[in-house]
Amino acid sequence: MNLVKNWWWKILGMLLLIYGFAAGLLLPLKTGITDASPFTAELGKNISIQSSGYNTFYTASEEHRAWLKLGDYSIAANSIEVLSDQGMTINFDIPQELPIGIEERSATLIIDNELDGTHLLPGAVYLNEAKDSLGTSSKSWEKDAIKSLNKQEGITFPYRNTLYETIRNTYFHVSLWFAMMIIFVVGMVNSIRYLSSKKMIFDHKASSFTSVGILFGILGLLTGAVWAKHTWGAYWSWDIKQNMTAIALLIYLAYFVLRASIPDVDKKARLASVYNIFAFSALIPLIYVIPRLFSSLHPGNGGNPAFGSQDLDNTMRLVFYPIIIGWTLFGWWIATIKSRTKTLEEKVS
Amino acid sequence: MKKRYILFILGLVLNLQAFAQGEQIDFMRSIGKIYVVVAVILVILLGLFYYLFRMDKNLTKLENQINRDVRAKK
Repeated sequence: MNLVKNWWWKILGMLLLIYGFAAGLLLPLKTGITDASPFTAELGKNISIQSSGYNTFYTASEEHRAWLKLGDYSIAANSIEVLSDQGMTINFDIPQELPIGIEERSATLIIDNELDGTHLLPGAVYLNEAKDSLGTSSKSWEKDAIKSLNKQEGITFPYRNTLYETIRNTYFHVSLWFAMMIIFVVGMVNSIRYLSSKKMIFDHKASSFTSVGILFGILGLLTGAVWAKHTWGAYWSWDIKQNMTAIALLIYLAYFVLRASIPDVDKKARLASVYNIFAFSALIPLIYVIPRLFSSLHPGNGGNPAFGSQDLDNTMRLVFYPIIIGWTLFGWWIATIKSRTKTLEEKVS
Repeated sequence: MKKRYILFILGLVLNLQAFAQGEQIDFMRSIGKIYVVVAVILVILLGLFYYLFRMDKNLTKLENQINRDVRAKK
């Protein structure tokens, strides 16, 4: 019975992590369009666009449809030629003029078939005025003409251009920050409990949890840097959120500098507990308030909460929340081992 | 000793970087950037291993101390 009592949450943590890693890595992305060329067209002329699909099975599907869309207006493709599972050539007759009341010139390319569902590339084709001769197209824009779109079957993660498969890093980068936050809260609560009870066990717990929190934070920074290198172009872009979290972690690192510099055990525990509460109250504005006041490369900053439906759909939530709990329990486990070691250490000396 | 480890890992990472840039410029961007996810998971694993390694070292120190105390009592 004791075995169950001591182990259930550790096993739960492991299972959640295994589930998170497996589902997070194995589920495919939705279909998308990676590329369409040429990316400019002249009004009134015919254009044939080479488009490359992502995760698509064009040769296996029967009924292909494609549109160019500007605002509410669209034109359907004249003809579609499937080259391979990922490649197709789409012919459009661009109308002589832009739709009435539309200033936007970047048209969205939309492709639809019964197997891959609807996938699109925003701003795929820029429509220029015809240069030399007038075009011959007799087509005109139709309003709200895109109807009865297909849906892709199966469980999939959202497709985003430039992110592609790295959207999976939501489970391995973002979740670490959430877990770090929970672990830091536990550390701070233990600091408060030490101050009110003066029992060393709480100081051991506080320093162990804080240490694991810093581990998660540093891993979060490093994984973020790797991800940033291949989406934003640099390991460190001096983004407001990067800077503020780095500062918050430095404040937390000073917690251990402080501990190491005081030889007296009781004094060390007392000062460290007070400092831990201070560090936590600095963490909240540094991570949750300041980054939201400035524009940032991170999604959901500049006034918005961290997650809109744009960045995290319901399928992702099914993996994202379990893996946060998984990381938290895993960190909790490490912290417990650490604090037990410290208690033993105290008994021995 | 510690410094040597860090330098070794740093050198390894830089080498990999140079390799990735020299041999095949778009290795990290191939197959829908899936290798970025692989790299991220590797970073997490390396970090956790390093942390475990340090915990192990602390525990060994404690074990040695206990052993010494037991021997002294005898």
